[in-house]
Amino acid sequence: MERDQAAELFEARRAPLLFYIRAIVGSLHGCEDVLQEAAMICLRKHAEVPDEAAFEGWIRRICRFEALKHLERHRRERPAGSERLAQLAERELTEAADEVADHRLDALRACLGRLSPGARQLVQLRYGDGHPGEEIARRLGRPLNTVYVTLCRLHKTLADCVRQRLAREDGHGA
Amino acid sequence: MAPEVQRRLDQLIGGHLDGALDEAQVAELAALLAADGEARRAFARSLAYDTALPRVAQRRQRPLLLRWWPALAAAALLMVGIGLWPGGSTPTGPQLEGEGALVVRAGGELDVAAAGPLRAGDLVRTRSATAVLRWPGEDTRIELAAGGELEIAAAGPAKDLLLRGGRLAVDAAHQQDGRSLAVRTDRLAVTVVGTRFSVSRTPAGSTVAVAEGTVAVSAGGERREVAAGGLAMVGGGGALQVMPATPAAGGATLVRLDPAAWQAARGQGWTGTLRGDGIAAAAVDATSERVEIPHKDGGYARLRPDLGIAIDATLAHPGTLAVFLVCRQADGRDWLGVYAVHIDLPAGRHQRTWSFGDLRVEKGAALAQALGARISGVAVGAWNRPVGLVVHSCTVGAPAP
Repeated sequence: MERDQAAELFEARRAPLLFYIRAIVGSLHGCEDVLQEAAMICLRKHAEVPDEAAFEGWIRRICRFEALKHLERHRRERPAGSERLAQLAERELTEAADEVADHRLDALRACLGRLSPGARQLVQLRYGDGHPGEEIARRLGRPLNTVYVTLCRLHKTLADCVRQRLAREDGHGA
Repeated sequence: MAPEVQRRLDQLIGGHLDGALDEAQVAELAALLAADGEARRAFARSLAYDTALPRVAQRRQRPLLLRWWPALAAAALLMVGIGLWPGGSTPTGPQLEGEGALVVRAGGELDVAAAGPLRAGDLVRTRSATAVLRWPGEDTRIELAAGGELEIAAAGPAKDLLLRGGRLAVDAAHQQDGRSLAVRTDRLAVTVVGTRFSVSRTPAGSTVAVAEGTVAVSAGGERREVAAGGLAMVGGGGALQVMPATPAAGGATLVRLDPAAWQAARGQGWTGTLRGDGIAAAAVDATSERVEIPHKDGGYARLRPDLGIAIDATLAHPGTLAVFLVCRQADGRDWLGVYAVHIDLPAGRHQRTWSFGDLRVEKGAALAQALGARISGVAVGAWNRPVGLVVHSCTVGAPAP
């Protein structure tokens, strides 16, 4: 495969590959560096890929390998099996990348504005200030598992809101 | 899914997002994902939203990285209070100019006219055109390139800006009498006395290129001064790299596109035709025009941090102008990337200059990896046809060794 073609295919898959890496690594920290490393390898070794059909599997293998390397570098003991999470949810991760594509972020912003004060506080602590769950639990005086459950429910609430909002806009535009 | 299973799934997903699961918990999560499609969708959804939300959530104002910041801010407030501020009135936030730019304020979006002076906490977002911020009472001008996101962390005389994405160019008036200017990305911070520089933020890292004066760049606990012609970068490893300018002993032109060069080559291999004192661009497709020199695999020059690009061109109609550098690897064996500078211009004749730090990656390897690469092709392009681009001269130059 030519280098230009490999670069274009990589760019088109950037978001799902980032989520694939994150499914293995867990925390967001370092995932973009892993993706960048995968991009460099893609540009160096493009000639190994025979055609477009082979690209998807090839680039995922590179991402998996680089994500595992990242975990080994940053943890004394990495939990075995996190790559299995990425494999299991491969298709859903690609679909989720569409859900948070750039053109949907305006709807996401609008949905953030409709959250309850408590949910907004959680958003601020997690995504405005960048705190991990443990620190949020400490600040809010809640059990860590409750924070995790609330976060996942928040993601679902926002996903539903974005979907409804875009459906309404489509309806008005039709 | 039973409520208790859903709850356990959410706990495990949350733990995974923090990178806090042990081996048994990862296996437990894998078993839940393997058993249920809804669990897999919930896992993917949380990964996606947890990754995307930091891009859209409002960050709180943070104090600057420098220890003297609070003292400066307090001094500025005191000066305002006792009427010593230049102009004798309370300074307001910057004015924003730019077609299509948006201001995100308190969760809503405002156009430029509705937003008025910018406030702390505002997020400026540019689409297909640049936007300019000007501060009242001083000649500081900041140009945010198309596709950029800039947060106004502090809008008053003690200016604090957070570049969330894209590129900006700063032309700062001398910062004195309580005024200060800091520009940050998530990887580095630049503090300014009075200078011209540009800052870029991409997923690969952040770059500061200084055109005039000196700035202080902080990253990862390290603070370095960067003088004119110098370049500071923070890449994936997080370490601050500073490349000083090569001492200039008169400029050296490395590549030139102008009528004299065209005539010397009799236009062989060039895209564009000689017309008077310039080279008229050829239409490339339905939307773009281009002037280009022939490719040279061995390279015309090396890509170096003290590189400068200058252009003198006429546009018959408004359009986007860009200079592209096509690069091969340092050993010349393989294509490496295309690096470009872009600007939106009205109709007329324009002269512009850029430095290495203004370049952005069009395709291929990150800029930090491209230093030393061979510049095998140079092109000047314009979009929004018909632009009617005529290039009078375009030079890629560097100080002589």
